[in-house]
Amino acid sequence: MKRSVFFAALALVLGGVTPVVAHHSVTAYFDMKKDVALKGEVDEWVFKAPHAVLKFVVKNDQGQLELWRAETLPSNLLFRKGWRFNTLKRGDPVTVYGHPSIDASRHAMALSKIVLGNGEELNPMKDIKARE
Amino acid sequence: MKAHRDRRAGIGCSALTGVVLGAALFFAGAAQAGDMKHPDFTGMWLGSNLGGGPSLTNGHKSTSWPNPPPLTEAGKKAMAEFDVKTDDPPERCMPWGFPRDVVFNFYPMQLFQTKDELLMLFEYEPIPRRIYLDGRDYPTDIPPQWFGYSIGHWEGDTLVVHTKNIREDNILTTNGLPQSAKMEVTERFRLLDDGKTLEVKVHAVDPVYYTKPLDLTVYWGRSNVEQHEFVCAEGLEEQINVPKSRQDDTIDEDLK
Repeated sequence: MKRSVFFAALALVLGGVTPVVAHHSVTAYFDMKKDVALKGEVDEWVFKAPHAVLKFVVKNDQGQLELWRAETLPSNLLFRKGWRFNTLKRGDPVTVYGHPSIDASRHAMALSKIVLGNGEELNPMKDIKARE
Repeated sequence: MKAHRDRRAGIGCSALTGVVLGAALFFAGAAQAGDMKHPDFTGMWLGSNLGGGPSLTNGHKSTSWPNPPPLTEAGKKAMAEFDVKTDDPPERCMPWGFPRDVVFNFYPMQLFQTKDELLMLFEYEPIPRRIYLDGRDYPTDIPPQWFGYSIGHWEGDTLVVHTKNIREDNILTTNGLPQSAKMEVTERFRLLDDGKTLEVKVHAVDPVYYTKPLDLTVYWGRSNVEQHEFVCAEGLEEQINVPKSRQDDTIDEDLK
């Protein structure tokens, strides 16, 4: 399964407010003043407590693959908004928007939204339709 | 709890023996469970701090702790020394505890009421909160508890709950508002809007860290959502607050 993956870090102005989520502080770990967008493909959608995490693979500008984690609301809260364990599947092409880790050695971000290959936008603060 | 089990057994029977008998058993169970003299808080509740805001609580809007907080010198020092990465119990998957669980109501709360006890199940928490209504006194020989030790009594239609024996290694808010072992909290629970809204007035007194009592009001709306399992340790290894060395960053062949 050959897919084109590439890396893009963009300064973006995103609407809305990233929520204060449970378990751990967001502002202590993520730079909420910075925005990034990374294009890649899904490794694993970890639909669990204490925060759901999208693990995805991107190719950096040296051509190396990197595993990234985008953290979002706890799975229980997402479930009530229509998200499911199979909302994202391994290999799905995604563009992931978020606020990067303050510690630049961590390939992690606080998720703002996900844009799927077909252009559909998944925002954890909004209700979505559960998928088949 | 026994009375609650009786009530559930009653509901189970109704499926087998028909609606009339079932309803009779249900009401018999309810009479056993609550005491009919007082409002029954039993049910599932969602808080107005959840995304839906006051729409979940029939228009009522919860308030927050006073801002700025009336800190004593000791309170200012505790807040200045607070480090969210090491001093916030949920970072380590420990409970939110009390009073945070009642105030910070992102998750559904299920209440079971008998004449002797009000049991609170928070979706986030692995342990229930118990409020004793049977006239007992506070124990003197148990260590501080995540939910403290809560005893309630009725004043008309209001349940007044007094809690002490609270843990001082917990906080009121994620920005580090402290709570001492001397903090005592009085809550006043009552139903509004024909039982569709639960109002909880919270009054916290902590002479170590605050020059004045702290007050807020939280609203919960009746809901038919389900609580699901929330096992904090389950996904912990993928979180940003876990050292990188504990995370598996292997990229599998099929994604290369």
